[in-house]
Amino acid sequence: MLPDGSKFSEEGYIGEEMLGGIEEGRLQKCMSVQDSIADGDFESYEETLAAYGVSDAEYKKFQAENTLHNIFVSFSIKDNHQMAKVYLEVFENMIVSVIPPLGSHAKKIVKELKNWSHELEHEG
Amino acid sequence: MSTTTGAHILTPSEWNQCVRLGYSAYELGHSGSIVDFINTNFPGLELLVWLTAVDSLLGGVSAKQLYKVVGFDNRDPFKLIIEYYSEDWDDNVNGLAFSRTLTKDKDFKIAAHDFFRIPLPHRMMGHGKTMLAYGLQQYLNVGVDAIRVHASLTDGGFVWARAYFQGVNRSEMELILADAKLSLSEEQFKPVESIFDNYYNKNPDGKAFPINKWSNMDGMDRILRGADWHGELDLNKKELLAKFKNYVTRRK
Repeated sequence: MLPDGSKFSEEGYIGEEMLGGIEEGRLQKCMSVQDSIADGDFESYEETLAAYGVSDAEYKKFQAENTLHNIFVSFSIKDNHQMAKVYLEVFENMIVSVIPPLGSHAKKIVKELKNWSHELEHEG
Repeated sequence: MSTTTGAHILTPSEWNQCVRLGYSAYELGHSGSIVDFINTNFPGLELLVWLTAVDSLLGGVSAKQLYKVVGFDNRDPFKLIIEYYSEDWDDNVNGLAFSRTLTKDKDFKIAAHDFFRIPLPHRMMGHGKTMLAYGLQQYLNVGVDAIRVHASLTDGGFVWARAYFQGVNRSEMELILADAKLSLSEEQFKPVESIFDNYYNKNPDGKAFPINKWSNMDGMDRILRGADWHGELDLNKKELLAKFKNYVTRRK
């Protein structure tokens, strides 16, 4: 057997293989922002973004992609057409949940989403 | 303690196939059957599957004499040690060494990533990632609670932080923080310190410092690459496991 293993350790290149490129790095930074917000590491959202060098737009894009992924996983629909319809319906529910009571702008958006969803249903 | 133990039971025939692959059993404690030892202490372990995968992947990376050992210690805490190494294992350019220890005590199972070195021409070809995926499957089969790694050699301090391992020893985190204070600008250091303070104020004796956050901060990659720390990945934390699995299995 090898001598006492306690003096050895895993070579860094073993893990280096798993490091992704720039895009993966940005994704990890956004995940850290999310973790830091959950853990209350900083006093404000802006301070948290600055700590990781992430912009507001980047973080919102990350959250949008996360949400889309969750919807995709939750509905397990393989047809793109059907999936788009589900996205619109979930989005509609999100607006209704977040902005009660609905103002005229929100009502207009919700109405458009419903129309769009119906169109997709007929196209499908 | 994890309860996700699998149903696989190692048979004497499977062990004989391991022997035919070149593996030999090495008793560290009292004498006994390795098959009984594994079925008693690590039920669910697909030893033949794991050792075949190790042999297929590492068998061709060294021209030197290879040693394949399955050590077991049937004294509490019970240990199973998988080793696969070349006769020049201590040559940090050409040597091959792979060592994993599964330890079981009364209510905890640990997988220690003791050592993994690959000859230079075979590095950065995905062997590390593949071996990690093979190992993880077996850890989940036997209900391992945590993976331990000593992050130090050749940039290991950074890459294992990126792989979601968490800092076990506060004193090691304090050393990294001190290095950061010396090396970073005041503006860069402030958030690094905030992460440390927030975690240890809430968990003075905490053994799961989220060092991954540090690895994503500007200037910290260089500091972590030179750092020496002991990390642990708690496989019972579902969110952490999901991140790690995604990290190990995703394509670049």
